[in-house]
This record gives sequence, structure tokens and C-alpha cells, in this order.
Amino acid sequence: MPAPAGLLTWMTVAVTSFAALLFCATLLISLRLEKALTDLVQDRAVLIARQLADSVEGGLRVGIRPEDQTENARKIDGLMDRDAGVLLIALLDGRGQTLVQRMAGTVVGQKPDPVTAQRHLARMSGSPTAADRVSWSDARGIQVVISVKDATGLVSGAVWVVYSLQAPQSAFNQSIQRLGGWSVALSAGFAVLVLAGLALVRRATEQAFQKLAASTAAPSDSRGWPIFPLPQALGTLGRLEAQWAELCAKADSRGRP
Amino acid sequence: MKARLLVALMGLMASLLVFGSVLALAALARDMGTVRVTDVLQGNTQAIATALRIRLDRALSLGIPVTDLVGVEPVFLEHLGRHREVSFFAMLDSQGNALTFTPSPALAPGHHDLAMAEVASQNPSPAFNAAFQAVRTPLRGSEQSDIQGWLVTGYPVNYIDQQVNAVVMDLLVAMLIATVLVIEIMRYAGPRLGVGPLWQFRAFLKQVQHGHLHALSPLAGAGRWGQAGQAMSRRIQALRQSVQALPQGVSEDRLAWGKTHGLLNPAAPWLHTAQPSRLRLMVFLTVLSDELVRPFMAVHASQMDGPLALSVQALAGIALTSFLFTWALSQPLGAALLRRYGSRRCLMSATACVALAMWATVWSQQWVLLVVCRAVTGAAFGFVLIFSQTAMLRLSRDHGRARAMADFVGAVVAAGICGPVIGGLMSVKLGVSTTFVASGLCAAAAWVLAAQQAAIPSAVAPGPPLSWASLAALLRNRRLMTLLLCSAIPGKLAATAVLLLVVPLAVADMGESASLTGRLLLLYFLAFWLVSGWAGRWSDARQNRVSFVVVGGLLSALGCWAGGSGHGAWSLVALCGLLGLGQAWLSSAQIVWATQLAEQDPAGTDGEVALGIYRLLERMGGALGPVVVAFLMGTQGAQASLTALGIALAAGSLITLIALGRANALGGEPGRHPSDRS
Repeated sequence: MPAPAGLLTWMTVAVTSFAALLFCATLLISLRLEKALTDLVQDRAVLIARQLADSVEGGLRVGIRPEDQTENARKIDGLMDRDAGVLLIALLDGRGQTLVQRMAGTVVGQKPDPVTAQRHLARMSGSPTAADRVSWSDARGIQVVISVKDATGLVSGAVWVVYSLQAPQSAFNQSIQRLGGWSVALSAGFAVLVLAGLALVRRATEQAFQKLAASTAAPSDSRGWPIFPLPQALGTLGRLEAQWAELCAKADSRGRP
Repeated sequence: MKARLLVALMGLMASLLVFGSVLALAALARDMGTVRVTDVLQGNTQAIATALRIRLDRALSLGIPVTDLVGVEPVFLEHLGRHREVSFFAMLDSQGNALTFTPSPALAPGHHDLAMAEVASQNPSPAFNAAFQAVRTPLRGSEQSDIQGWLVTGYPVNYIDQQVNAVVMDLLVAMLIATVLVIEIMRYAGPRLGVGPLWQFRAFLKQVQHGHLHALSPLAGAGRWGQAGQAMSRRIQALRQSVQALPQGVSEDRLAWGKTHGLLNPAAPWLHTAQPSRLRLMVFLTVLSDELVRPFMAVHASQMDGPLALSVQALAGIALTSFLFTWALSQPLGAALLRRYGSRRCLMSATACVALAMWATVWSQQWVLLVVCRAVTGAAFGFVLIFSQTAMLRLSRDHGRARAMADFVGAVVAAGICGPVIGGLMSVKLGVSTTFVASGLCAAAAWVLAAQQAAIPSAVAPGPPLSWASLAALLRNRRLMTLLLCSAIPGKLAATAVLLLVVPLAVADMGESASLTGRLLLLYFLAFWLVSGWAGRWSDARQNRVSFVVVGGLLSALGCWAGGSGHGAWSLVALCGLLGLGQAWLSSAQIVWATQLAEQDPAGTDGEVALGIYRLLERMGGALGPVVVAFLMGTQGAQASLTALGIALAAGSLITLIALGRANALGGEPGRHPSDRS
């Protein structure tokens, strides 16, 4: 048969649960902050990609293919100069091959993958209602691919922008560190409170047991026993034993076995 | 009284500390995030304003005066739709008079009026400054020209507050999930920490207090409680021996006294909760392993390299359907496999398959491989569930079958509450592969629990195995078919249709975000989780199934009616809340009743086999739900469809009552077990 767990076990369970809750809250809050910033940064990346895409589409509408448009390189340079967070801007043709590309000075080996580009182009041109934009985040940053359509609505290329995730990531790290420190402090305070509470309960229980043991009268006083009616149960048991003894005595006096 | 007040006060302080700590963290994050968010927001606004300026300057460079520009408002609206962080755009002439003002559709009416009144003001009021930051961009046409006008772009100062409000909602959800997780773990750890035996000891004391001596103390150990309990047990045993030593035929008064106080029979054993709690945690972990991947599985499947002839929706749908299909097919086979190989081996094999299939999914770079992995996972997952249900029924044969089913359902629903949120966060932060690995680890932990579980034999001789004859016998069982067709299938159909189709579409139509959908679905599962345990215990205590099934069906119908007749978010709250409540009320009683109806049939179909067939038919009904309701919604609209569902559920419940009202209190379950009083 099992026995109740000790004080230390209960304290470990309570403090661990509290600390886990605060850790989850810290993680959730930090992720939400990171997401808010990521959404804003992604919006910026989409804006930049769309600016270039609109410009290329303007040329397509008058019959100039993207590979023949000579201003694209200058426009890309202008976009990169205006925003330090842009890591890469690339203009792709209808087969996913890179026509023009610029990378930020700190970036190495981040060229758009032609196979991935082809897959995205195929999905974006799959049906008239297909999305004209694909975006995702990975280790390189926020990646946005926006289709470029000609005057008839056919996908003729794409703009690929990679934007740095430095702002959201540093916000996440700072939040984790600061809130994590507070979580540790709050958990320590909670541990002290729980220890004090459990010690009080244990002391009260010990006193109640000692009083019960010292009591010579039939135990019935329920003060100090808010949850476990031990005195009442002992009192009833004592009364039932007395009843049984009385019944046996009556039977004996009548000569019954 | 003083002690109770003290306990209540300590509990209140602990709760305040928990809530206060969480809210304090949110406030700290707000202070920390305000500067960063405002910085990025300002940069975005300037970039948006610059992009717009370039477009407007192109028109101005052609000589068109700023006052004669047309089509500006649609351009502003297009940008407001793309950039939700912007509150308004405005165009002013060179004197600063407002020519066009276009607010975001999401702008509150009060703020709308404030912005419109002061957008052109050089010295806006404190109220405006408290609500907005405005970026003014000059419009020149060309770099050498004079300023011909101004473009004003406004964004909200309290953007971070909107995020913090969302954080607080997320935190409430997180606390709920944490509570559910802790409770599930405590159900397993509780017996090991002595919580269950302590609670049983309290029940024992209350019984003795009222003169019922049919049980002994459940506690052992050298501690105060154990010693007190053992001392009482010795005294009770002494009384029992004295009573039982009396010869029959004499001492009628003493025998009657002994019978009154439960001393004539041997001491009733306490229900050991270790085995059921282990099974429950195993079910929870297995279901959690699938719920972790549910938020992103459809998107993940749609992004894989698959046949180009299939649309992205088809790629996602086939991957999901393969899981559900093999899950359904596994149900009827559970009883036969259990009898052949035993519960321990079956559970170990099934949980191992779930784990291995989840890990194999990590390396599935091709869509076809993903579908195969999902199909294997679905079959193994289904086997774990049917094996566990059958094992729980076996363990509870003598006391509390509905309660056992409520335990099973509660574990499934608890995983449904926790899993998607945790899985969604993990996939965003740690990646899809890591989430699949974590999912496999959950199934592996379930395997460990299955390995610790002793084999659970069937308490009764097995009936005819699964065969066409037994299936035909089940289909000829009119009572069982009435229950299935009038209650079980319509209920499952309504639940899947509402959760998978009606609520998401209704929320999208209202223009709200997917997070509202998540919270509404959470409400359904929360109502289910909170109520199903109670309903199962009560159904067992009252030996009543039909009233629970009928009342549950009527509550579900009421929910559908409320959703169909109301408007807005509150009608959806009523829909999800009442539907969850109704399904929770009937769920356990319905499953147990179905097995009992099968067993009572003269054809003698085995209850375990019947359970598998019941689950198969129920799952097929659930799969039909979205299809049927999609058709109804397409022809009649959402509200009429919900009303029709409500009428169907109500009619089904009434038919069940009329047809099966007398077939109640079946199975002849024995009287209450001591633990049922706790």
C-alpha cells in the first residue's frame, strides 16, 4: 500500500510547476514580441519586393522583357541603399534563373536556388487564383518571392528579397534573458512561500495529532481537522465497539453463545 | 473554521501570486518591446510613405496638379489592406489643407473622427498625439520642384499595446494548457505521490464516521497518517472477526448489527489507480504526439515535391485523409489482435510504430513518402486508441465503465487542448523537423509506459471473433443501430462539421483572425474536458445511460440552434460551448451503452468487437460531416445549415428516447465501490 509523499516532494512538485509555468509564459511573451517584429519586418520585405516588381511589370506592359530592362540594377541598388536590413534582392526570369542580383556586403553565398525558384514559380503560375507571393523565414532571414506578371497576367519572372531577422531575434534574446531572470527570482520567492506554508500545515497537523493522542475522553473535537475527520471517525468507531460489547454482554447474560 | 480560512487564504495567495507573476512578466515585456517596435514601425511607415510618394510624384511630374489627382483613394486603400500597421493615409495640398483622408477599416470610430479632424493640423492636440504618430512626406514631382503637397501616413502609438493584449490572451491560454498538463501528469504521479491514497483515506474516514466499516485504511507507512489508519484497520478487523465468528441461526440481533455496518463480508479492496492512470497518460502522450504536428501538417504537405497535377489543396488533403482512413480501418481489428497477442505486446508495438513513423516523417522529403508515413502513423495511432479503450473497459468491468471511458476521452481531449498550441510554437521557433522528433519522443514515452503495463486479460470469456457473421449480427441489432444512427453518427457529424468547417469559415467571414477560431475550438475542448469525467461518474452512479445520451443530444441541438439563430462572435461561443457540453455529457455513456447493447443481443456479439465496429462507423460519420455541411452551406447558407443540424440532433435524441427509453440500466453493474464515494 502506498504512503503519502514527504514535504520535500510536495515542495519540488509545486515549485517545479510554478517555474515551468513562468518559463512557458516567458517563452510565449518573447515569441509574441518576436512575431510582432517579424511581421513588421516581413511587411518591409514585401514592400521592397513589390516596389521592384511593379517597376519591372511597368516595363513588361510596354513589351520590354525583364532581361532587356536596363534600369533594374540601378533600382535594386537604390532599394538596398535605402534600407540596411536588406540582405539580397534578385530578379529572376520565368525559368527561375537569376537576371540581376545584389547582396549586402556581409552576406556570403546566399544566391537564390534555381530549383526552389522554379518550384515557387510553378506554384504561383499554376492557376489564375494562385497566390502571387510566397514568404517564409529560415536561418538566412525572411525570404519573400513575388511574381512578376506581363500584360496578359502570365508569370514572367519573380523578385526574390531576403531581409535580415536581426531585429526580431535580438528582441527575442533580450526578452528571454530579462524575463528569464525575473522568472528565476519569482520562483525563488514562491519556493520560500510554499516552504513556509507546508511547514505551517505540518506543524498544525502535528499539534492536532498530539492533542488527539493526549485526549483521554472520546475524541470528537473536530477543530484542527478541516479536511480529514479523524476525531469523528475515531469517535464513531469507539461507539460501535461499545455497542458491540453491550450486545455481546446481553447475549452472554441470556446464556446464548 | 480557522484552519479552513487559513487554507483558503493560502490558496488565494498562491493564485494571486501565479496570476500576478504572469501579468508582471507581460508588463515588463511591454516596456521592453515598446522602443523596439516603435523603431521598426517608424521605419516601415517611412518606407511605405516613400513608396507611395514615388508613385504620386510620377503623376505630379507629368504636370497634373495635386488637387486634380484621381484614383488616389483606391491606391491608399490598397496599401492599407497590405500594411495593417498603418492607421490612415491623407494627402494635403501645398497650403496644408486636406484633400483626401483614407482611414484603415480597422480604425475605431472615435479614433477615425480624431484623425480626420486633425490630420492637417500643424499642432495636433494631445489626444491625437496620444493615439497616433504621423509621418509627413513632401510631394514635389521632381527633386528640383517646389513642394506641391504632402502625404501624411499615420500609425498607432499603442501598436505594442495591441500586441500585449494578444499576449495576455495567449498567456491565459498558456495557463489553461499548463493546468491541463499538470492535471494529466498528476493523475499519473498522484498515486505515486500518495495523493490518491490520501484522498481514499479521507473517504475511508468519512465512511467510518457514518458507521460504514466495509473497508480498511488504504494508507500504509510509518508516518502519522499511516499509523492512524493501520490502528483503525486493526480495530475494524477485530470487530469483523467477532461478527463473522458468530454461528448462523443464532444471535440474530448481532448479525443484523454486523450487516448494518458492513462487517459480514470480507473487507472491500480499494481501487488501485496506478494501472488506469498509466493507461490514461499513455493515451495522452500518444494523442499529444499527433496533436503537436496538426497545426502545420497541411501546410507542410502542400509544400512538398509532389505531382504537379495535384493542387496544393489536394497535396494537403490526401496526406490528411491517409491518416484518417487508416485510423478508421484499424478500429475493428483491435479486439482480435488483443486476444491473440495480449494487451502489453499490442500496446508496445502500436506505440513503437507511432514513434518510428513520426521519426521517419522527418526524412520524408518526397510527398509520396510523407503520405505513406502518415498512413502508417494513422494505423498505429488508431490501434493505440482501440487497444487502450478496450483495456480500460476490461479494468473497469466491475465498477465504473462510463467513468473509465470518460478517463479515456478526457485524455484525448486534454491532448487536443495542449498539443496544437505547443506544436505550433515549436514549429515556428525550432522548425518542423524538431517538432516531428519531439512528437516521436512523446510516442516513445508512451511506449515506456506500455512496457511497464502488465497484460490486462479479459474478465469474461471472449465471444465470437470479428467476422462477416458478427458484423451482420451487429447490423441486425436494432437497438444498437438506433443508437448509432440517431445519436452517435449525427453527433460526430455535427462536431466535425462545426469544428473543421463552420467555425473557421464563420470567423473568416467576420473578418477576424485565425486566433479567434483557435480560441473557439479551445472552448469546445475545454467544455468537453471539464464535463466528461463528471458525466461518466454520474452515469455509473445512477446506472443510467439513456438520459445522459438524450440530454447530451438535446444540449448539442441547442448549441447548433444558438449558432444558427444568432449573429457574431457570441453565437459562435454559444455554439462551441453548448456543443462541447452536450457531447461531453453523452460521450462516455454512449460508448458503454453501445457495448452493453451488443453484449445483450441474443446473437451474442462480443462487446470488444462491437466497440471496434462502433468506432469505425462513428469515424466514418465524422468524416462525412464536413462534406454534408459544406453541401448544405453551399445551398442554404451557414445559419440554415446549423439550424438543420440542430433539428436533426434533437430529432435523433427524441427517437433514441422513444425507441430505447426502456432499455436502460443495462449490464447489472454491482453496487458502489468504496472509491466511488471519493
